[in-house]
Amino acid sequence: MNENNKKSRGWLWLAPSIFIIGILSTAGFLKALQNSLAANQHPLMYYMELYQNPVFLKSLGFTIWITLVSTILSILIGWGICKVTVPYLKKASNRLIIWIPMMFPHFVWAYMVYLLVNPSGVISITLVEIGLVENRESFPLLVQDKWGIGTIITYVWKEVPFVILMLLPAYVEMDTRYKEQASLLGASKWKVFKIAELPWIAPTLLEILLILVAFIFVGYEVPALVGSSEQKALGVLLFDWFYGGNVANRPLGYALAVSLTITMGIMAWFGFRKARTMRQRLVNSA
Amino acid sequence: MRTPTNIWFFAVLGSIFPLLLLVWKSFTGFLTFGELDVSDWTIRGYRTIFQDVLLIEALWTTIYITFLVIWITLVCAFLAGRVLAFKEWKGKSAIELLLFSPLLLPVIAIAIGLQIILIKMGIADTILGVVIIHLLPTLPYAITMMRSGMERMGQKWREQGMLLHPSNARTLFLIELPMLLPTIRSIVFLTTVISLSQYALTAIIGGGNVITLALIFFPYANSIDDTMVTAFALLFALLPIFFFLLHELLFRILFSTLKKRWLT
Repeated sequence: MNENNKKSRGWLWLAPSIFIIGILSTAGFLKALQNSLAANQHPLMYYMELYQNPVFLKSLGFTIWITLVSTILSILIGWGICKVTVPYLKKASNRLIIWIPMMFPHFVWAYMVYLLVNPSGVISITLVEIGLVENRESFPLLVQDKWGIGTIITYVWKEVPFVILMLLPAYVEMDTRYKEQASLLGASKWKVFKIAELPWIAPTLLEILLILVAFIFVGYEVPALVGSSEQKALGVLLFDWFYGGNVANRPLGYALAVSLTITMGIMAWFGFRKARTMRQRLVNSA
Repeated sequence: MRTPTNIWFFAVLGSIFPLLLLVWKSFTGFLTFGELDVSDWTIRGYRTIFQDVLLIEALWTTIYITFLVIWITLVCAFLAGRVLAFKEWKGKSAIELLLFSPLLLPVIAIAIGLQIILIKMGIADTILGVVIIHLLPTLPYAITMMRSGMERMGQKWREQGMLLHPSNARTLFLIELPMLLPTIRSIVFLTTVISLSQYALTAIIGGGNVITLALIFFPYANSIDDTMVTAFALLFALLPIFFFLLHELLFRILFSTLKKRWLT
């Protein structure tokens, strides 16, 4: 009886979070799904229309590009900095410096990047002033450009601190005896890394990857501010289809919302499970 | 340990320089080619934003929303964190995935469907609706942080407290929460930043009725008046510090009052 009581109380404690996250997400998803199905024609008509829509296909390719580049660069740079700085980051005042970019919303950071690299921005003016660049026309276009450079710069700059802070606990808690043992036994640097370092951080890396991809792939604020109006990221396209005034685009918007949720749901399910088994294996082997 | 120069270089370039750039721009006039005059200081940017009635109203709305989001997040994360930290059961990993899912799913896509439901319930275009949608990106981080905070603390302190004086409230306020304070601080800070950052979600659920600072910043950002926009941008960094200090004060007063009442 007592045991039963305790068990049900556990669910009671989880209930507010489960309600807010589970019920709201499910309800939102189902409503979008319902709205994405055509009433009188083939139910999946809007989906077929969406997957042939040239605007969508162009935006999809562009979004995959900025997501991959931003995510890979953020992880590599953040990981590198974390590895080098772990001993210094144990001091709280040094960690504070990393927190500075995290204090600002993404759109503020996008504006800061715009201030720096726009054709008449701080860098351009400074370079012209000291004579490195002849005039503002010869300064490369880095914001509202067709490659999404401004968007990528903003994401990488903003996500590197996030990657460092996520990896930090893994590096702080890492058992360095394995590494010492491996090098004592004559393993090459790469081998030491592969058997005594990577397994410790791989689950966290995978989680960071999933979070960043999900975040950047449908991000609205950054590409809306520093992206070009010709090359729209999916988040911007989705927003425009709903609030751009043309009501005819809405069913396509719902189809896009549902497609995005399903794709990322599948990715999250497998990725999260993979991270979990990797972590389990680590616990068992230790 | 002394920090080597090359690490300082990265820290200055990546973190301190952008902050200084914003502060400097907010106090100087327009930059033009050929006249790089940095001696011309002005507080016009700050005067302009604090005279903007719409902005001041949005500031209050934002403070109100953020405060609600922080407290709902803290309470939910505390409850969920304890169960996740100390209890094992079959199917736990499914619950963990569910609670983490807003970080892995396109919340903007979910918000678009949710808006229709909230309209039917009559809470779309209201502050309550906006608070609810902000919880989706804040809660998963808070739960994860609270859980690891509790795992670090362990259950021994709680058991000890209950042994000395079997009262849930006393154990909670005199032992558990003070020990969790570093975790609570990080959650307050991060939740504030995340809630302040939501333009798209607030625009969708608020339907143009709930005007937060983020909603005002977007049209502002297209203005050519850098001085004013950077002053506004810095306001976004001041708010997390404000909420951090406010909660530090609140918790200190709470703990010392309860300590006096219960222990003397």
